[in-house]
Amino acid sequence: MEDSAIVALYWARDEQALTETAAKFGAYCRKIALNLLGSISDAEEVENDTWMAAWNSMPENRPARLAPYLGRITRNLALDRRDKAAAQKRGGGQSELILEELEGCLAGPARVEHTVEAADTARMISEFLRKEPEPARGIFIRRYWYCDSMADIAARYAMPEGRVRVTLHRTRNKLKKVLTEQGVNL
Amino acid sequence: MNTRELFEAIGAMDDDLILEADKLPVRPRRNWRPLLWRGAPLAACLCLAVGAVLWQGQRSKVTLDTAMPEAAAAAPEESGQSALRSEAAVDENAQAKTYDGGLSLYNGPEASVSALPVLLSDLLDKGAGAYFLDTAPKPADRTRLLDWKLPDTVPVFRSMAAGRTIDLSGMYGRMRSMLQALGLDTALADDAVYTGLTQAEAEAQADTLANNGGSEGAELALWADAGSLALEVAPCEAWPEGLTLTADNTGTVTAQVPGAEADATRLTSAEALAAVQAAWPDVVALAGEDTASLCYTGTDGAWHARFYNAAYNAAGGIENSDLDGVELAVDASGQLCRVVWHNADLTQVAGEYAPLTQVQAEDLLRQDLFLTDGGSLDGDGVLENLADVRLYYPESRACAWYLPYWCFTADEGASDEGASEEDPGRHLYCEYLVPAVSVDDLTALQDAG
Repeated sequence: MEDSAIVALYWARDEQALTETAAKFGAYCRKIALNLLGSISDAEEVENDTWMAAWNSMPENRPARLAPYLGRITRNLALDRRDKAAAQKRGGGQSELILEELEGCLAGPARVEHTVEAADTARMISEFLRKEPEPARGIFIRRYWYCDSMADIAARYAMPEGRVRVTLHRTRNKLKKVLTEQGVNL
Repeated sequence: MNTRELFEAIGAMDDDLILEADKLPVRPRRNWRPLLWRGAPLAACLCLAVGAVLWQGQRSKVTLDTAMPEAAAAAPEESGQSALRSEAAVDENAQAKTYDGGLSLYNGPEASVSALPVLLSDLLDKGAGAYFLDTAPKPADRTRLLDWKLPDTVPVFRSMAAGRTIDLSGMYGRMRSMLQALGLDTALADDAVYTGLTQAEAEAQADTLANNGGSEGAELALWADAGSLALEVAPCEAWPEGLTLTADNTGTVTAQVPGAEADATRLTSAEALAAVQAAWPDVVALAGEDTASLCYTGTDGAWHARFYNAAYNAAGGIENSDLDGVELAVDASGQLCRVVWHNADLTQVAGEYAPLTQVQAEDLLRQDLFLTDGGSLDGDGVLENLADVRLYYPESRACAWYLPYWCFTADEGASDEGASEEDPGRHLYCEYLVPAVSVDDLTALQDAG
């Protein structure tokens, strides 16, 4: 079923939307969650939470493409679960590593944020990535959006993991420079 | 902004970028900085000879013209696609003539690092990542020849991709062998799902590629990547997190514990090697009956125990573990988390040829006749900054032949790349490869078809 048809089901409050979503995007969202959490059971719970969050978010939102929309929800829910698990001293997955790596993009300690800055930052990141050549752009997105492991990215791009790491390191450094110049890192 | 907010901001990037990254990338052919030649007939013949090992069977062969070394590849294209054409324009100032020539090529725009295959236990136990060894000692005297007695001949193998078949039964068979080695029911392989082209589809695409002037490297890459089997093993007693297995058309089978990462922070090399040998003898046995072992820090900075069949190395000291061996990685708790079994078919021996000596290989190196995956030095620079020399059969997916190479690894100096506050003295290491088979023999290889 086309994304637009599924979204129409959500807007019509037809629960068939959830069945169609799970069928089409279940593996997709589960993989993202599994990448972050490292546990199949946790990933399945986040998957279910994603459908509920999607149901609650529509109507009001009408996404043009469901994959990135649902993926975003999954990412954030997975990280929320990770925060909870960390508090209970358990869990695995890529989340710790990914957040540690992203620290390298920031110039200094956190400060109070305004909501509008997050949207601007997203726009800057998009503009920055469009200027990056492949495979650096794809590798960055696979790592920090899809949360793939280094091994999976290396296999996907048929390159040694070392090259994946170096590529990510360089891209993070460039992003840091861009964010600093644009006033995000202050 | 904190890291969580940055993570969410990344999440909010434009949809088309996200969707584009979810498409399988055009698989880069291994890039070697193109062989440079400066009119030396010997080198040009080498390129052409290797490059002429092309289309098999029904394909028309490129005419080998050893009298005209400049009648070689066209200027490299941005996309990395290269072709060996018999009527390419002469470009005397061309710095790079790319060619496929039975070797796989990859177009990497930036200098890249590659793993330093370290065999010395004292280096391994430093715990550093393979490509950022902060304490790698410079060999005392690099003018000294290796104390190897080279064999009289070394084999050149016809590659699996050159067979131009999708070996589905082979993929299933290898997956069953892996399942058995991992203590699982081989019948699970029946649930594996094949994704990719059928034989007819692959042949049709190969024909289209050929008709549109595509290179032989691209065609071989098509066969190498034509399809693969995938199997998700549900959590069980032996594998509480489950397993993901894949088997591809180049003989490689991978088993990965979902979400697990290899780790090198808690074990020395000896401990990692002992752990996998003791706990997983059946997996180690996938490498063959007479296994020799290497234990090294892989490119991800974690311990990888690699086993290969020493008896199979017809040339004795030439490693073929990239093609025929098994590599195991353990996680932070010492548990097996990843297995990569290279099982290239090495039964199709195209011939046995006299190997180049190290002196001869260094001679070619000084003439800048080498392949490098992102190295930035010229031949003299490589020898001045030499960190390691070895002979091996490198992994090549989209190639016509598996050739042995002299591999010169150069220390390209300290770099900020990858350096950290904890380990600021890291260096970059790059490999420079010179084929270990002589020109005349490669010509004979082409003639043999």
